Order: sequence, then C-alpha cells, then structure tokens
Amino acid sequence: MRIVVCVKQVPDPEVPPSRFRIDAEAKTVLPPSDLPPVISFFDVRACEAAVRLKDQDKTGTTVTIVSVGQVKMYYALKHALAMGADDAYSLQDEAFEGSDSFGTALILASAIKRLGDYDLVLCGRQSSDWEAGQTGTLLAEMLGVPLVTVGSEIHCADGKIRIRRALKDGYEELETQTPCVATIGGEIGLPRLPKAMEIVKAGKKPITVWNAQDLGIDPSQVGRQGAHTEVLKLYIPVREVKCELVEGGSTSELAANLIAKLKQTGAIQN
Amino acid sequence: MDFELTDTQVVFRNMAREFAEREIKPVAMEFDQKQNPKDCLPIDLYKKGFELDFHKMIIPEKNGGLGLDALTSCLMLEELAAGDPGYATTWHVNNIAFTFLYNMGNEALAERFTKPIVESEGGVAAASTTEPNGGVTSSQLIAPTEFVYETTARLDGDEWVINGAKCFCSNGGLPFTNWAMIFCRTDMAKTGVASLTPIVVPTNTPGFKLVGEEDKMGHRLSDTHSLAFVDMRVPKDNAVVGGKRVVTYEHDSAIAAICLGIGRSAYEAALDFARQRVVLGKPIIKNQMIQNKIAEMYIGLEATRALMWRTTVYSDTHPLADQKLARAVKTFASDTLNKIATDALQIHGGAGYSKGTVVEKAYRDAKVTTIYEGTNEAQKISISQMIESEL
Repeated sequence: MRIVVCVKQVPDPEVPPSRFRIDAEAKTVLPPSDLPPVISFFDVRACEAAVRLKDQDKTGTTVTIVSVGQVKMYYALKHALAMGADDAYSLQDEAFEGSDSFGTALILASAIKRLGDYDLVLCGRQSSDWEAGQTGTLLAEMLGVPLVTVGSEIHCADGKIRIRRALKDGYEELETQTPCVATIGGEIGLPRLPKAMEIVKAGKKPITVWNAQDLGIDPSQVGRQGAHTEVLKLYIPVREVKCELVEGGSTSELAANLIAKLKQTGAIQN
Repeated sequence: MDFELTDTQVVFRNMAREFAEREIKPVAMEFDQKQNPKDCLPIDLYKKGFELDFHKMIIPEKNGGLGLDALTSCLMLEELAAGDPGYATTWHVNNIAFTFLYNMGNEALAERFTKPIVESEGGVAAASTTEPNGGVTSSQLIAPTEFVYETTARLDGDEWVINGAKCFCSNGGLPFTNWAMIFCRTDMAKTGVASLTPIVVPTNTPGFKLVGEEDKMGHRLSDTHSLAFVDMRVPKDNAVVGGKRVVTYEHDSAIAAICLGIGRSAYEAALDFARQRVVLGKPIIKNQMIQNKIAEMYIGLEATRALMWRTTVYSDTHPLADQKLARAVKTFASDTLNKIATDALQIHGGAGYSKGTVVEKAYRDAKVTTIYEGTNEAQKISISQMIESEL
C-alpha cells in the first residue's frame, strides 16, 4: 500500500503571540525570524496515522511525504522522515507563493498524480497557522476520490479502508474503497517522537524538489493570482480581561446571579 | 558567521524539547522531592531515553551510535536539562565516558566496550577521577601539582590489580551502568594527572563495590555514588591508551548547555510570575527593579548560548579544542546561571522559597555547576596559567 501524507511547515505555535507581527497592509504574517518553524499540529498526526499503518505492514507499505512551500530548510519533511516515512517531496516555486487552500490543493493534487499509483492520502484536518481546514476536502475533489474527514483510527483490509471518525458526541466508522483521502484530527492521540537514530538517517535522505514546470501547473492557477479567496483584513485581536464580582446574599442567590450574568454576556446559552 | 542551525539539528532539538515537555517535566518534581536518594532515580524515564537512543549520542556511527557533533549534543542536553538537569547529566556523563574511550583508547578497546551498550536494550557508562582527598580540581586543572592519587593499578601478569576508592561518581550505581572508567595511578614516580592511566572496569567485576549514594541538594534525578575497589582484576588490555581524537564532544560546553536548560526554566517561571503577580495594583513586571532582573536574566542566557555555540563549533572544527575557551564557557555559564536562579527566586519572593516550585528546584540544581568538573576558582587559575604560558 502506498500512503501519501501532505504536511505543512508552519511558524511554531508555541511561540508567545506577542512575538508575532503582521503586515496589515500586505495582509501577511511576519513570524519571528530567529525561530525555526515546525511541522503543523494535525499534519504530524497524519504522519502518525501513516506510520502506524506501516508498523502493521513493514514490507508492503510505503509512506511518501509531500509539502508545499518556499523553504530553505526542510524541518517538516525531515521530521516526517524521522518518524518513519520513506521519501519526501518539496513542492516549491515562486508562483506558488500566496496560494490559498484551492491553490495548495491543486499543487498537491498535481504532485500526487505525478507520483503515480497511491492508495491513501492523509492530511491534517487544518493547518496550525491559517486553520482554514479546506485543503484536504478540495484535494479529494481534485483527485476524484472519496473523502473521510476528522479520522482517527484507520484499518486496511482487502483493498478497503475503514476509518473511525470523530463526532460531537461519539464516533462512527466508515468503510471506503481505495484510493481515498482522509483528514486526521487530534483524536488519534500523541504522535510518536522520532528516535534519534532515525533523525540521523532522515538527515541523509534526499529531498526531491518539484516546481510548477515539473508538475505541469499553469502559474496563473496558483499563488496570489490564482486565489479563490481574499483576505479582507488581517489584525491581531485585542484581548481585554475584566473582573466583576457577582453579589448575592446566599449561595443559591450567588449562583442564580452568576448564571444570569453568564447568560447576559453570552458565555452560556439560555 | 552563520548562527543558523541545520534542519536536522532543529529536528533533534525539537524532539528533545518535546520529550522534556511530555515525559520529564510531569514527573521531575515528584522524583526530586523524595527523601531517599535511591527513590529519586526515574528508572522508567531512563528506559524511555534508551528507546530514543539518548545513550548513543556521541558514539560514532560506524560503531552503532549517532555520531553527533558537539553542538547537536549540547542542543539536546539544553532541552533535557530544561526538563530536569539531573536527567540530562546522566546522558552527559555517559557522553564523557565514551569521549574518553574513543579519544584516549584504541579502536579495539572502544569497540569492545561500545557493543554491550549499543547492542542491548540500553546501558550507560561512568567515568571517575575524584577521590576523597581531591580530584579534578587539584590534579588536572592546576599544573604542576603534587597531588597523589590513592587509587592504584599494578600489573600482575596480564591483569591490572586495582585498589582504592573514588567519590562523587555520577552514574556509578545505576542498575544499567555497564562499565566505569577508573583513573588509576600506575606511574608511582609521578604525581597528578601525569601518573594516571584510565582503565575500563565492567561494573560486575568482583571487587567493584558501591559504598554509598550521595544525598544531594540538587540534581537528585542523577545517581552519584562513592566506589571502593578491593583487589579488582581486569585484563591488561582494558587500559585506555593508544587513542586518536575521534569524538568532538566538549565537556565544558555540555555543562554550559545544562546550565542554559536550568536557567531557561527559572527565567520562564520568573517571567510568568512577574506578569501575573499583582502588588499595589499593578503586575510586578511594571516595577523597574524587576525589569532590571528580567533583562539581566535574558542577557545572561543569550550570552551563555552564544559562547556555548562558539565553543562547540570550535571543538567540531579544530583538532584540539582551546582549553581556555572550554574553561571559560563552563565558568561563565555556571556563574551566570547562579545569578539567574537567585534572581528568579527573588522575583517570586516568599512563594519561591517554598519547596516544590520550579525556582526553588532551579536554585538547588544550579549550585553544583560552579563546583563539579573543577571548581570555578580552579578553572580561573587554570585559564590564567594558560594565558601566562602563551605570553
């Protein structure tokens, strides 16, 4: 079975928000330049889902990583390789800069088609930076294959894939044919830490770089020029904390007043 | 000059940082607070370290190790020490023992004592120089010295017979310590370090005795034992001789990395506290006296990191590290850390004086760094002696 995992390199979300700056006019984020980025939160969980399947079938399953983005250092790809992936592709071209979810999905779909046969494509349910949560869905549409969203456990047997899917109040299990796309949520649990020896090996694995020409992509379809969405305003929200003491003569009166206050502020529903 | 880490170095650092967050920090305080030092050793946590290959850091790749450069090892140690410095010290001491083995010992010896550790489920090594009457400070840093080591090894046929005692031996008594490198006086005509030959002793050798564990004020997750040797016999070939410099691991930079880990934790705790603690209607971080402390802590950490990176990169790229530079980084890092730990506790006021807080633990963990591996006073004498000899 060939699994393709789409990963994104993002600014480290653990960095305090105060370190981030934005260019409001250009509507872009200016992450701190001295802090290396990391692999996106849900994408590393998609890698975990893939290598768990590989653990069950070490000889017959391969995991390929693809990533869109203009990068000098391959932090995300090396991390994924160290977790147990077999090979990695960096998809970068100046024309890709500023791609929205549609453009990113188009680039990924082109790369996956070029890779040839595949059985399963895994994506994080959303990225840690823009959190749009659309790329996986658009990718399935472009590849013309079934999609399961917010997956956790995945089982493969007899050419079919069974995916447990998180619901608001439980879970459901869906069975689908291959090839298919699944997005992975946090319900899968903690991703493994790469073993040090695997990091050493990953450091020596080559990264294949494909550009727009390699992928046969018309530059006008991707990047800012091909975007289907427009960022109208980018700003850092101002957080305001106010403390108000609820008064009341008895415990029950205090509780009633607190509930009324919470309803009034919209913190709880009527 | 490029201060950018490679992508692989960043993956290593991130892995160690995540391990510290997930595995070390949740249990470090609990183990630290136990009364009996025997109970302070987080054996399962060490086993998790074996699973991630922490014991193979500086062992060359061709011998089954990771073959990490000096900087990458230190990046990992800083992160592990931010979780707990005692935990980081166990791997650091293992790195020291293997550095001696590979740089001072011949290839056959290095291979013989690497195999049992890399081919098993995990093990570590120890190295011991210090004796009850003196050690690194009195014999290795200040030269010349009349210090006489009392642990001796004499040849009897094809075997060394070792008698004597060592103290403050880190990793000496861990259940998975495979061997210890004991520095023995073999040349009775000489004194100090010139009289010594390091000899590798498997810990299951008859006559290798654990005398007692130290009940330390800090670094409690690290094992520290006194050792006694009674007619202990090991093959003549266990002498660590005939080596070429293979490993670039830099001991003093590694201590600086551990200092950075402790200091960073204390700084972050103090910063959080200063932002949240409201006195007389405003967070205390708005007070200039606190701001001064926060700024000095930040300056200290950044200066230590810059010097530590400089020293490790120098060690990686030069056949023999500049010993002045090495001693400078150890001394600077540990003095700076102790100021940071003191200020971090001071910012907390009474809340930091109680047991079980990050800054109280950091204060205790910090102290040993100006003492071990040669006191800072001896380090400075040594630096000045080297400067004088170069004039």
